Amino acid sequence: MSDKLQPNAELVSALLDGELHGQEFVRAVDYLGDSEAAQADWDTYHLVGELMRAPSTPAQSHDPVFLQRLRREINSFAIESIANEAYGKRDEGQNRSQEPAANDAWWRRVAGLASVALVGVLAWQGYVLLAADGVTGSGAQLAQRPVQPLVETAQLAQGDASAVMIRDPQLDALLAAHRQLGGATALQTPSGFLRNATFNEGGR
Amino acid sequence: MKRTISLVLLVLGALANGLAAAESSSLPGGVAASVEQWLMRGHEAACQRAYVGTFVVTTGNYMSSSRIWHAGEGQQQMERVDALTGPPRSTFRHNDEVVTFLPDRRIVVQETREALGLFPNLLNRADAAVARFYRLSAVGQGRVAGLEADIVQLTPVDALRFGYQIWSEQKTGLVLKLQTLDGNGRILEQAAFSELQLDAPVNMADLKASMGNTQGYRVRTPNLVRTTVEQEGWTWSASVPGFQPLRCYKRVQGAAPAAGQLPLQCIFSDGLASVSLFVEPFDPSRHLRLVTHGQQPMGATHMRVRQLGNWWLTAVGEVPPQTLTAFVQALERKK
Repeated sequence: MSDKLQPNAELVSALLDGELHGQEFVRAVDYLGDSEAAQADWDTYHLVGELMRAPSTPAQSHDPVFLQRLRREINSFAIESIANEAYGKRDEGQNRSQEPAANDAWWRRVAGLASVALVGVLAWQGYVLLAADGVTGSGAQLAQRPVQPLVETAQLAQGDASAVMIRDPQLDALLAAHRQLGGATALQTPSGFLRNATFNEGGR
Repeated sequence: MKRTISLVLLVLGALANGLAAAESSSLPGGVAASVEQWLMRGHEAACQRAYVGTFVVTTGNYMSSSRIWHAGEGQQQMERVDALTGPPRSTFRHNDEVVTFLPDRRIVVQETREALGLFPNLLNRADAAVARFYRLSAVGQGRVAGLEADIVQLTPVDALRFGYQIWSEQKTGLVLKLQTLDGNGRILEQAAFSELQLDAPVNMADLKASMGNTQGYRVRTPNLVRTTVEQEGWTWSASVPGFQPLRCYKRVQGAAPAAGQLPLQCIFSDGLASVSLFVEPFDPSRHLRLVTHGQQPMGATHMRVRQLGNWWLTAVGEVPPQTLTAFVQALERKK
């Protein structure tokens, strides 16, 4: 679908309603990440949606200064560098991390969407809650909230890095078969045979 | 793509042939010897000796150790290896007959390992790859398990194999320590005696009696059938320089291969390193998840996989990954 057919404001609206897929989704997220007007539309649509869903809740718009500070906090956490650090414990991972990853652009878009979505949702809900509790603008507390998913991402990445060391039983069977019948080496006696007999398959 | 691989292999092979040849080195002690002679010395040292020791294998982050009893009387070789790490396991070897006791499961596995009988015959062949693809050089002296050792290095002439640094006992030539090194000299794996008593009173008859005592155990014998790549409907589009086909086996259970069994295993060796190539029917549910697992090295042991139509190829060996890639790319289904 072209820009002509899908005006920008409608693009944001369609994104919010979950109607976009594939290239349209990617384009909308790009647009949302780059355009302040689109972000304003995004906020407005959320506000309208909230009013329609819960008319009794006092509707308040967010503080743009606070939001800017929140965005800066979010941007200070580099998703890619965290993922690379965890992956870098493996040699091959280090090598790969130096190559342009096929999903770089995808990650940027997801990160862009995540930050905008977090800003919108957390700022709105948090601000309303804080206002309701009578707590005055402690932006620092809110700024800590978005850290959670990033920490989880890092833990997942670390989990993946350690998980690769747990080898598949099928692979272990192949390795065992190789050690049994392969291991044909002039260093077989004594080192080769002793090595294979000593090696503890289960210990891995 | 195939053409490029063939060309690369051809160039590497030509390079290896041109550079190497049966080059003589000055070994520790001032004795000039070829690679084969030096390897034979180590081989014969083990054949004529009795010893007891503790053997340690370090692979990546993992360490395994075992207690070794060895008795050698010419053609008769007996060995007992008791694992000291992991589940209890005792492995006995009488020449190429190997019996493994698994006390936890009350199972004993009896098998013939023909690869054990291949040497030194393979070294004596005119086309022996060891001398053409590895260079022998003296490094110095050191001590292993309290014994004085000469240190030599076997450096590969191409990127298709790893290098080795070997500590051999000065008087007998027995290999005390073996390191596998990558192209940058980084240690990928090492195996060494941490303690060794040479000429220990090891009784071959006692070892043989223990090997045969399978009472209370269920005896299992792998059902292996010798075959060839061609018989199984495969052919090679290119050979991997230095690696010679040694054996091919089919692993059969009943009338048809059981799920998870390994239908075909072909073994290749350049004299020091070995590669197993497995061929089995492709099963998406089992194989696709192995693609990422299979890329992870385990010390010097690497693995590469490839789907080829309805077949799944897995190459495993103590060689660089590009060597395994060459193997899985070179195999083709006969038309």
